[in-house]
Amino acid sequence: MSPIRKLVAPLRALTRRRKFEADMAEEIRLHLEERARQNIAGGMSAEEARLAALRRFGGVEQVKEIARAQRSIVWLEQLLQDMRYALRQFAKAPGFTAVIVLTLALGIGSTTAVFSVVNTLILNPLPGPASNRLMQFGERMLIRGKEHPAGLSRPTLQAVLGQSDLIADFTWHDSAQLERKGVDFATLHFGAFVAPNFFTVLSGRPLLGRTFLPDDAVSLDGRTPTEDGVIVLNHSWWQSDFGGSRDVIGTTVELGDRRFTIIGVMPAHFQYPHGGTHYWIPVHPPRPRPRTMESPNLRPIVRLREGVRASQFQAMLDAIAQNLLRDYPAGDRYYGDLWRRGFGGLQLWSRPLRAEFQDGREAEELRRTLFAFGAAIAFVLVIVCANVANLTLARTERRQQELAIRAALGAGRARLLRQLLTENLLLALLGGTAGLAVTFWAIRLLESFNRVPRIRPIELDVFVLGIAFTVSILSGLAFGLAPAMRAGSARISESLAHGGTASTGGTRTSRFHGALVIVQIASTMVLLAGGGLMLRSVMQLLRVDPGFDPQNVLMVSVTPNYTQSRQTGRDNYRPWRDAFYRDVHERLAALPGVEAVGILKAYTDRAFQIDESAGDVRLHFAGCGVDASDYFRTMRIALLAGRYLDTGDIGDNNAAVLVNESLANLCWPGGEAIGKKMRTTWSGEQRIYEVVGVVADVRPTRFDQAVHPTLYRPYQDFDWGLAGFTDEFVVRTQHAPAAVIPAIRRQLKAAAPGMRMPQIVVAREVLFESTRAQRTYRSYLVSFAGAGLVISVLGVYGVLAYSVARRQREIGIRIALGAARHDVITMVVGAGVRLIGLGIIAGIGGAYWLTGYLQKQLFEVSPGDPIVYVAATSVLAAAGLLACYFPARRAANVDPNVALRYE
Amino acid sequence: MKQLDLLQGTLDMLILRVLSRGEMHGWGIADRIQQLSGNVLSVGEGSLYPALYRLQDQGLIESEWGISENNRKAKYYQLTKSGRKHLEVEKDSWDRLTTAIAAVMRSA
Repeated sequence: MSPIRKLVAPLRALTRRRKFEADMAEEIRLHLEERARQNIAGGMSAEEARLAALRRFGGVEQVKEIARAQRSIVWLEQLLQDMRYALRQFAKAPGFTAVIVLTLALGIGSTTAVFSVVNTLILNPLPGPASNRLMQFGERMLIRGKEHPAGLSRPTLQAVLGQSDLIADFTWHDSAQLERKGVDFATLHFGAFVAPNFFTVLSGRPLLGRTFLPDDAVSLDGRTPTEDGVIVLNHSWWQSDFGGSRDVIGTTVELGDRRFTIIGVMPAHFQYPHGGTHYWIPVHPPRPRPRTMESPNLRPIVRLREGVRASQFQAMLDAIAQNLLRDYPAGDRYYGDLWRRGFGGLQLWSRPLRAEFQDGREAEELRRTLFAFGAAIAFVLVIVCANVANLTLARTERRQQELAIRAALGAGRARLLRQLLTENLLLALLGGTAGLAVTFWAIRLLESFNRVPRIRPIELDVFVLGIAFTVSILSGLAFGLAPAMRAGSARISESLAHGGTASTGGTRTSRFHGALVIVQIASTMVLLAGGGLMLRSVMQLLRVDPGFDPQNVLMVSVTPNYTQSRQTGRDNYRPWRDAFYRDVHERLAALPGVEAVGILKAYTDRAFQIDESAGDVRLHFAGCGVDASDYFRTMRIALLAGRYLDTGDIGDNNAAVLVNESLANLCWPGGEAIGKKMRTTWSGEQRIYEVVGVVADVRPTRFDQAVHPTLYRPYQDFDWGLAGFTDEFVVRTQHAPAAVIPAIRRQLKAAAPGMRMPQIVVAREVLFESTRAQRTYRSYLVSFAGAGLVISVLGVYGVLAYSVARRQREIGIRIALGAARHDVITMVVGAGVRLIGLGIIAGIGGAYWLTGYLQKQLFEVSPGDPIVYVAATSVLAAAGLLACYFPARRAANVDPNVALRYE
Repeated sequence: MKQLDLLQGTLDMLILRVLSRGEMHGWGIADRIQQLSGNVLSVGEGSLYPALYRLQDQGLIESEWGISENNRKAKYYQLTKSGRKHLEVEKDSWDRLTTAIAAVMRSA
């Protein structure tokens, strides 16, 4: 029969059943009638004729039944029957069913989730057809031997766009920073200027409204648009500042002194060029760098024509570079010299757009997190699956008798197998459905760890779901059917003779049970070790001394109005600044609850010469308050040597500086820093500084942040303020710092109307929040370890209890023959201890090897930390012994009379 | 079990053989088979019908309601092209089998 026919037959049979029955009945009736007529013609009476016909025919119903059985529909009816039977079995053993369904759900769910996330964020981050033909390119410059992307020059852009035979589409994006005036303060919002076809080329569809048309583009003057235009919002800005209301379409928002009409909102998953891009504004033409570094962030994107390879594109870029160098020789002020001297030669780079999502620090971090999570979940799965395997094996052994009886009563082996197959399929279906729920939850969890720019939403990978499903079915079959296959004719009589508790499994099965327990214990050990390491790591992290007293401290970042400070001009800057700082200090110090106020001027990076060595060292140079607004005293930063700065150190000719610990260790390792001198060039003059004190390193944002070597001078030294640089005021309060924040804002607004929104944070909260990733990871690992421990203990208990139950007769005999109770206990516990011991040893080995991968997540804890291993071993051993205790007690209390009499 | 299989195979062959001469209705086929090989239908004439339905499901024969020679309603069966081909193939293998057996019997 053709394969298609075979496939379709059951369905056709289903629909034509009535017709089949009717036809068959009719045909048989006609047959019988004809025979009867023949018989009558031969001389029989009517009744005799009919009976003779029937006799000759054979059993009518039997024939019909045979005919029906032949039809494929019976297969379906039997399937339904099997399913109903299976469901009854599940109801009889709800615990068993629940464990298996949960295991399947966990396995299918977590595998699919991890793979979906990996697929969307790492493997295929770009949606749309032909997304692998999207390429980025640009110019490259060499700074001190290292390559840096350097935007794009006008001639280069024009030359590349002229190559239309390789390029199908072209779009670009550039960074935007526009100020939005608010009621109290102005806020700076980051966004992107983009080509009108930006969303089209990237296949980004809006959540609300629409994206851009070519006519929507405005032009730029420098970094601001020259006219009002349209804008598309990103999801988070829409939620936070526009209330997430659908009515926002058509309203306007003022940015950078221009009004923009909101025409669309992008969905939450579209975060490109990065998560902080609040808006997109269509601009034409793109503004490549004409002469200065005006737009280093212009990022062009091209889509190559079909069939064009990346190598061809790169070859084209190389050719263009050569031509441009020829067209703009040395001596050309604008480009020729820039490329040759500034950039170290004109070199064009290209890479697939995909790489932007796959490379980079955030992507690396995500990969590490996913791997670590995946590994932890894998171990939990191993533990749970081992339990399931043990349970299933035990259950199937118990069912041997039932299966044997059914086989003896005539059910073909095929029928029995089909029954078991149906059961497993049903379990897999239930597990798979529950698995979907787990997948969604797990995806949401993994998403919260992600900071990589994105375009695609994280989609359920149906392919992986299908694979996980199939694997679960196959493994269910392996465990469920294997023992059932043995229910052949030879074993039937054997199992019927020995009864339900027959050791039809034998030593091979119990060894298999034991092996599974060892695997469970080993996996639990790995999880305990991992969880323990993370626990210690977080404890270490939280114990780090941040270098100051973070209790009741607020950090206030202030950005005075750009125009105001520019207008004052360089000569007027100092008086303006001094007056401004004094004003702010007085206002803040006067607030109730404020104990002290300090000032820290923004860092700059300067080259210094330390006298002995020849080379330059780049150090941070910061200005601090030394009078009433003393930074160090307000922050309570420890003085490690020498003295603090004071008002006597103010003055352009004064040489005293404070250095932090990192600087002292960097420049004068092992030696005394006090009295050492350093040289630098400041406004064209040479300045010499002398170290008068060493202060502790300060870590205000993260416990594990790298501290730059820094020197401190009174802020009065600095005679210019760069626009956009923030000044930091630190405020120490007597009690709850958060309560003072609104008052601080009011005072700041009064002091400098029109300034940007000040950032006010509570120091302790910032530090604690910075450990969130590690704390979360620690919590999950510890819970996984806990769950694994419980399940393993249950597993050990289950196996031992089952073994004791099976060997009741043997134990009864032993006791009857004179074995003392404690001998029996030793026998049982000994078996358990052997398993647990092997498991722990295997686990330690595995843990030691695998936790090496955790290295990057750990803070000042080595993966081989002995304390953690000893603790984990003790916990596991104790739990294991507890699991052995109850079955051992039961074995010891076996009454030999009862055991020998009953099976 | 095995005996039934063998009988079933023979029955199928006979039905195809009978129908190779032309279309026929149910009891006509039964009559002809009785003539050709009596014991095949010794279990009962009715066992013909499951065989007919099976052959039809396999696509080797097809059926159609019609009027018999007695002017009665009857379902007529006839060979399909694949049925005809199947018959040829089975005949060949049967011939080869009998030749082989005969050769063995002679040599032993």
